Amino acid sequence: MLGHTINFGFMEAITLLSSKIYSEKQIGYMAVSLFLSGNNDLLPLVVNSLKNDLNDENPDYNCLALQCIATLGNETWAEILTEDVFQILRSPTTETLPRKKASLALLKLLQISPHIITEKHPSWIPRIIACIDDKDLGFVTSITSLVQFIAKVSPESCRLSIPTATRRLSKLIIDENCESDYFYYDVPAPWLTVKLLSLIEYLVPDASTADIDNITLSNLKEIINTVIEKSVTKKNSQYSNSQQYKNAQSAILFSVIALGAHLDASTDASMNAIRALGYLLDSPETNTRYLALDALIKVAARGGNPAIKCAYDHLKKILDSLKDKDISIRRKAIDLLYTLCDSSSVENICNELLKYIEVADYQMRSDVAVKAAVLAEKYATDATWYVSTILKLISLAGNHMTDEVWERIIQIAVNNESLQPTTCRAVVRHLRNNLFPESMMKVSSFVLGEYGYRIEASVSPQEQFEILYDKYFYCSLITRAMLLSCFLKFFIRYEFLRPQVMDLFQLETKSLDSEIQQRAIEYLKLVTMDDNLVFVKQVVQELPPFQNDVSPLIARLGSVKDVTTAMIKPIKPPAPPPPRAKRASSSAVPQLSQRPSRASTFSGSDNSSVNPFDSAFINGDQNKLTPHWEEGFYRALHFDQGIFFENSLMRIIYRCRTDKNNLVFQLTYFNKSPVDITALTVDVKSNTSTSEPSYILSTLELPASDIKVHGKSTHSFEASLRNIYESKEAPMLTVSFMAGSFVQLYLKLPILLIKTLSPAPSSSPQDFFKRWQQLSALGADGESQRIFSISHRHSDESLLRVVNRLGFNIVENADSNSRNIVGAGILHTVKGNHGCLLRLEPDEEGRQFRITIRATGPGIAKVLADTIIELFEFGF
Amino acid sequence: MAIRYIILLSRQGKVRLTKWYTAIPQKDRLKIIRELTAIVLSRRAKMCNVLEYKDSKLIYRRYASLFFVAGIDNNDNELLSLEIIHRYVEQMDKSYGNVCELDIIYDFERALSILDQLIVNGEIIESSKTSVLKTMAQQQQLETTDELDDYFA
Repeated sequence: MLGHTINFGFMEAITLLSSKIYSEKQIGYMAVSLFLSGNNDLLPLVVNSLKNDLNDENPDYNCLALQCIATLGNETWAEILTEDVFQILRSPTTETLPRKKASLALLKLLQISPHIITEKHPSWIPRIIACIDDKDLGFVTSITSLVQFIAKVSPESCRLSIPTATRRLSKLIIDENCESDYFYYDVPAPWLTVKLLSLIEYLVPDASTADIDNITLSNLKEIINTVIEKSVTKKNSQYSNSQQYKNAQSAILFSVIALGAHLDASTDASMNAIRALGYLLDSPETNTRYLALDALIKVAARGGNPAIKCAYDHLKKILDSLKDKDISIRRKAIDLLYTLCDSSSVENICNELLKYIEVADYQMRSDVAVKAAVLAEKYATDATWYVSTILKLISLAGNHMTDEVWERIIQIAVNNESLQPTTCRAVVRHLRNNLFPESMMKVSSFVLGEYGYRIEASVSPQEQFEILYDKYFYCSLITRAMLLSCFLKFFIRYEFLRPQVMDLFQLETKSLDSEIQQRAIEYLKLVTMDDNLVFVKQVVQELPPFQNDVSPLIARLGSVKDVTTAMIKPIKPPAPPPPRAKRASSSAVPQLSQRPSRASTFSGSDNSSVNPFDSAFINGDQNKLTPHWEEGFYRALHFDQGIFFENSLMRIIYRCRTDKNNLVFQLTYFNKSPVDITALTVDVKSNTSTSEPSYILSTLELPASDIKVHGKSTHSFEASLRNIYESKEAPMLTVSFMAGSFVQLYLKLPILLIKTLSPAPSSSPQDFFKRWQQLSALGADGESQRIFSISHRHSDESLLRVVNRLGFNIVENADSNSRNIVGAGILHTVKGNHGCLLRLEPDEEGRQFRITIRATGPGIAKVLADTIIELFEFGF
Repeated sequence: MAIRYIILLSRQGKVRLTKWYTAIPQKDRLKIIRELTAIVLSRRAKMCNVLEYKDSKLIYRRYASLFFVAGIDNNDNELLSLEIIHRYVEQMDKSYGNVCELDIIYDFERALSILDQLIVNGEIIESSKTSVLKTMAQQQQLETTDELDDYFA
């Protein structure tokens, strides 16, 4: 407490919990929450008092207990108390304050034991989601945090909340419809807004928005645009200059941009977002600038090439940020430059980074240096440019970088013969300017030793030697060792340098460092062994090229060398940073690698949300269908309108129009209950595969969330059938609403292949048989013949009518037996139309049938026969 | 997305109030306080109020002689967390009437219960201007009745 540790009085505090006096109880709870933490031994003693207070009628006691649970929640409590907490949350008669606290206390307990909701009580989820539609904004604010968490552990079950949350958002943002209490400096409920936005961002798996209906989607886009518009146009209000107003406004903007980039990675959307962010870069607020840079990084990383191009327009502002007073901003700006770089802008950006390195803080230099080196290597298209840039980088920041950078340039020089003279000349130039950090000396000692002879014409060997020799004694031991090897190479190549080199070797035989001494003695022995230097020449043979598999980047630079003459600069997809670079700097690299890893967690969540399309899940769905769903389902197979579902609270009427392969379904929800229906949410979920869908659903109209007593609301959607599929792939409709209590209906939608059947033009029996014969050519694939029986007897006329309603044109007098029914129809899918012929033979009693279907496409006959048999067996 | 802890520091680096929303062992708590005191106190005015700290972010703002520091999850909205702090200060201001550091030292109980009405389990529970104060008033009322009962008993 107040920074001091306390370790007495625990028992007294716990005794106070069971007091009947409010202030004593309150002090007791406060003490317990402050003193005890995590897994204290005393926590189990508190459980009983908590349970009593949760079930007490006094809401103030409930609140105290809930508050305590939210602070100290642990596993045992989760087991014992979760249900009591949920009781407080669900009961609509409780005051809002305990409900608010209950939602967050429940959050705490679920965070500790998520299995309680995912395994034990999945039925709680829809009830909790329905609370987003509650009238009290404070309650909604707290429940949204809970929903956010549930969305993480069980994304699929939370999909229903997307339309609900969107509706709430559009009320808040577009209509600015919000109680005056919840305006925060003229911004309507900023916390709730941001929570809802991030909830949606989490639930929409990725840019493929196939999973949300298009009305919600267009609503969301409208919300996004409205917010971005608002941020650009200044609003006149008394607070428009206060920091609070601006902060809240930009907080929403940042969330919206994150959502926008997630929802729609199209060029237009990211352009808009980047424009708005660019505007924020000019803000006088340090925080806003910082976050704008941060957001730009995210948008650019997700938006791909066009976004990078667009963000590149703000380069000047970003470069200005490099001069900001605040180091956090400068760091972010460097990160952003790193993200924005591609092969077309690499030269520009690297030059800027090089310029910046000279003025940067010492603590930032190594970071900048590593980033520049990685960028140059990743995107270089011109090998000469690469070499000169890296050498310049080494000369500027050589003391601040790791060994990998100079080792890398040597590798590249070894592998590219044409680069060797250039590299030598550049090295000499830098050494002449007296810019020689250790790393530069190391590069020089190697390059001049190996390839110095190739620039003999412009720089004499004598000068090459001296330029290195002069600096020998300024260097660290390890560099000296490298220089000794280099001088050995000079010794072999140039006779006139031998005395000087010999002298140096002599001298170093007395070196204090054993490594140097050993080298000197060995080299001395080597060169004096025989006069022709045969053996020593073997020792210092030219280095063979590095194997290409050392790094794919060498290969790139190597091949680019040939291409550069043609000046072709292919835009390469950004390769992941080489593993070597990851080790390069412990400070820079976690930051760099964070982004990909974040992206991968996103895709991870995608996988889990795709998973439910497994057949196991579909079967699970079948099991939980609401009783009596069948009547409406089978009715809709042959009638175009009627009652789809009815219970004591609601009646759903359907109307169905077919236009070739398009089905338009209109569902009207009638409120039959004695109270208003609130929080009505509908969700149509397809059960077809996502990669190759058999049908595509799109929503045309969503019902209102509230339906008055005796009122109604309409919902319509369209299905476009693409492929042949079986009836188990039919989509599911989930309707959930509050009418006194919470109700959820699971219904199967009759969006089946057979609904696209239309009567074939009437034909004579002769034609029919001709085609019947032709179709037998397809064999087993094109024909399905089955025998089935039904419980009710139907008159011949009613059988005829059903077959007709299903979409077959009855061919009269075709069969020798007049009771047999023969029909022809055409099935429509996007991929093509198929002719179908049917023959239905009832037995004497009309109880047993033989059905034969022949169709022009494989598999169709079986699917149709299955559906027709299902319908007959159910009855009509 | 949640606040992990809120710590109030004086300009001299003295801790005035702490509230932890995640279970962190006492030893680590002290370490965090030590580290973030050093970081936050060394920041100059006008610098950005957001800092990256280990796997989380620090949001801080200075009101007179007090630093309000909040540790939040990485994916949380920074500016709004900053505004929660502001809302907290506003509420304290109204409840104490022109709040100052001493008020928080001597009546920390009230400061904590205002915080409890605003943030539960690291999530904001109520963003309404009046609701928090109303609850506070009710609580005080209850306590006064208790005292009266004692007195008459």
